Amino acid sequence: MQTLGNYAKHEDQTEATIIRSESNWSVKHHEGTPPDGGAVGVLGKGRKGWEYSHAIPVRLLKRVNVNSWFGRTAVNGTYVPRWFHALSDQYRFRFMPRIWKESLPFLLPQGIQQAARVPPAWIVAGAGATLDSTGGRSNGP
Amino acid sequence: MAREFAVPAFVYWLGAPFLLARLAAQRRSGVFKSLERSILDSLIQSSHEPLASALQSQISEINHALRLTTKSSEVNFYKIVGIRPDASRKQPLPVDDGDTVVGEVVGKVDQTIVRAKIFAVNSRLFSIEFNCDARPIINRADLEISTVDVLGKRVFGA
Repeated sequence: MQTLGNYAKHEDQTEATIIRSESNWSVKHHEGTPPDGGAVGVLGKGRKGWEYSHAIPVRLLKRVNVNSWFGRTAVNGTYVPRWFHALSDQYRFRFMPRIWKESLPFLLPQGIQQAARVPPAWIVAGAGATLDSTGGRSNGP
Repeated sequence: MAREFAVPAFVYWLGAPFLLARLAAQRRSGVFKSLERSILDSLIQSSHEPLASALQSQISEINHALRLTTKSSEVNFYKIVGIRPDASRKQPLPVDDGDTVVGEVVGKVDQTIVRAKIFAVNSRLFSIEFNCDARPIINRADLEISTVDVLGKRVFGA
């Protein structure tokens, strides 16, 4: 287990810490703060037939040498069913059994493949930021 | 259904109109590219009966091809009826069930050596897998064939 640093201070001055363990990220909340967001992206881990799908592929991450610490995080993907991974990533589709591929005549267009691999963490972060800014305006002076 | 799966599944359906449009365009323009046609023709010419006639029959039934290139290229062939793949063929290939290498064709286009393996799945012609990125030469019909293997036996070339 590796502590990567404190990332937030709550209103009651309690801190949360990002912790990396076995290539997963989690958030440890001190002083009884409620857990939020730390489990996003690992909900499917360990389930039969589910596997990790990268948003930014490993071959690109290796070029800039960040794959070891960024490759399999909740920020760069999520766990999805194997069939969905194959549909949305032709690099995965190539390694499916031919008998399986014979029943699947189409893959998504490239742009939509990439959109389908957007990690839930990005969506949650975007929604959170939007709600936060909207709430700020409605409660403004 | 898990919450994190709901969003990608919705995005997937956005692709349906693009896929149908691609299928319609392919049916108008023809399924096989020149290089693929050369490889399949050489395999048919080198095959004995009843394999040759079964290949010819199945090729005439194929109406959709899915081309993928990662480090190398792969072309998968389908018979689509409506919007679904159909497993029925008039003449099944006389090969074992499951995943079988029907043949291997080696040739040369310009300075590129092309090695293509032809696979069948459950007695249906299914795919050609190339050893290289076939996109730059896929429309070339001038493949100089050096060897052809059919069902593991060399039938053409040294």
